[in-house]
Amino acid sequence: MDIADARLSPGAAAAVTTLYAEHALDLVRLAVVLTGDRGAAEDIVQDAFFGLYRRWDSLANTAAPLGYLRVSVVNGCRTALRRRSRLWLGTHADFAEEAGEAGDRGRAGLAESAEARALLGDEQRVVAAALRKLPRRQREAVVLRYYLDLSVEETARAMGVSPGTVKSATHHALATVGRILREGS
Amino acid sequence: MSREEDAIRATTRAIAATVREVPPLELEPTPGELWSPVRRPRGGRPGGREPRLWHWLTPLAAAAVVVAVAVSLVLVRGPQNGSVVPQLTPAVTDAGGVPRYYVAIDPVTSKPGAADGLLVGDTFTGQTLAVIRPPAHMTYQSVTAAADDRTFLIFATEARASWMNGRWYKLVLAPGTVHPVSVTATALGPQSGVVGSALSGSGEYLAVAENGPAKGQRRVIVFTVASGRPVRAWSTMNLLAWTVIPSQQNLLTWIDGGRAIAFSALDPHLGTEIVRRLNVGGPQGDGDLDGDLIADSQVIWSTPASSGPSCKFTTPLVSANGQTIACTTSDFAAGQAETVTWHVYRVSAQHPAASKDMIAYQVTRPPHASLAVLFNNTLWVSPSGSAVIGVWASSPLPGATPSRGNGNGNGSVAATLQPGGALPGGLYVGLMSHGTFTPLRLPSSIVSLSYHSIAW
Repeated sequence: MDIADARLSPGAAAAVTTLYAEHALDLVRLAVVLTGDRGAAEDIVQDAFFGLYRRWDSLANTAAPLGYLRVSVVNGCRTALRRRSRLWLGTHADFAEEAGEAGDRGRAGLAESAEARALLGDEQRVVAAALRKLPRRQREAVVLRYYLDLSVEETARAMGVSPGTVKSATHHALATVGRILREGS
Repeated sequence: MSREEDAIRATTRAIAATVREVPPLELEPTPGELWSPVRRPRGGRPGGREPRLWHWLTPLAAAAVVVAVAVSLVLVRGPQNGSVVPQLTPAVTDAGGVPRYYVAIDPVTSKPGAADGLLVGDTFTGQTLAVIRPPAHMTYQSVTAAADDRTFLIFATEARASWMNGRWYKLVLAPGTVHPVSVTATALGPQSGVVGSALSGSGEYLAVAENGPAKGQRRVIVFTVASGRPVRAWSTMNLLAWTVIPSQQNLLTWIDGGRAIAFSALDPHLGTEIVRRLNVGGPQGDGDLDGDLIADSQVIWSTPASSGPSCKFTTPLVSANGQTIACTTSDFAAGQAETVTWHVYRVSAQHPAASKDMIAYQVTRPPHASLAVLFNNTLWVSPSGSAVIGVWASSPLPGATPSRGNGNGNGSVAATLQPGGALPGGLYVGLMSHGTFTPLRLPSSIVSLSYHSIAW
């Protein structure tokens, strides 16, 4: 299919716009949880919907666009985070530090916002800090599993990994969060 | 439901609840776009980033996954000997035309956030020739090599600045002398938006791929290393000019003895990887600094449309003579075996999509193995295509039933649990040729192996 065809696809814009109205808020929230950056989250979701629009006619399963969008958003979050951290910082990445850098550029991450500080209780602040310290894969796994309540299989599809990897990542993430909670209590 | 699960659920939902509205969707194509449609970047946000319009092809974002999973390597690098490995041939001695010396980006310390230095090593002996710290408040980002196996250019940025903005340093090797390694500043001025680079085989010219300075602009500029002056430049507003993956990639390769540059791009119709050839026009070009990156280049290779996984998740790597292209594919479905394949293609400008592949090596993870293949990449390919330097990593899955290692020489990955309960898994980098894998001796400190972070 020629790309130009996608632009002319009748009904694609209307369909995607409708989907945006239904799901954009939830997806931006997901991206905010994953990246801690509201601006990046909005861009990631915009890009995901544009990708859906552009590929509307070629998507084999347009009956399940939310799955496509979720994968796009997760991938977009990975890319955004990757841009902010070097490869080998992964398991030690101090996301709070990254959020501080983002704040320096005028795009304070959620973890640094007064609103977040006001809304989160003591334990939630500890948990948020623990989540930010998790390696990317572990953070994705627990956010998809427990924020979106996805099954292991759904999480695996969204992350593009095997269910076993999801189980592994979740196992390690819970252990880390549990340890931090115990240390904080 | 555990306390941890409840706590994560409550916290993430509290964070999410701070978002109460979203901006309207924008689907209009950019006027004048060569290959419309492309989402128009939203302007006006304070401190707004450059547009990431390239996101619109999901496979590109998936490519970032391939890069990002390398973070897991830190977890599994320790027990190198505890890794599950295929049966190996002896270490490389001088095979496949691999250059002897390499320069790799190397963490100065294991401290998170520490700047990155350089490690100069001998491919064949495994010896470290030098470890070089970055200049104060700087960190090294990428490295590109000339053909003499002695000259390298290193891109360095301020430690906390964008990875795309920095300046170039020259590293020269003189093994056996009093000063075997020297690093000096170059005449090349500060550069921004750098997403790819290639030093010419002669070491005289540096080709740089840049994003910007205009929003959405893609540029390739050729500088003389000696003077720092630009001698050729091409630009386009076509966002498909290359795949923007968030780190410096092998976007550019000097080919045909410095007469042309190959760069990775995207097929405008299929969204798959292609390689375009950009004629430089002689040793110093014709001085044209206003070339059109698309109009002045031609497609010399396309991802084959054959069945099976394509190379669309990885950037194809072009050999120095421009005749060979290598890339990796990963064939995976939940609950099934996972096969990673390193392909080599011969370039045919007349029939760019008809190239037949040769398989340099394959790694297969059996179904239900207690390991996952996390990461794969191609770092170097010989001009003939007979040898590839590839890298992959495996990681253990908790709770899996361990089995004894059973590598069979064809790259089959099975699960092994080491005595003492050490986690299996690890990073493997080596020479791949005709189905064999010969490990390279790289220091254990090197945990980042992507195109830009090591050069031969």
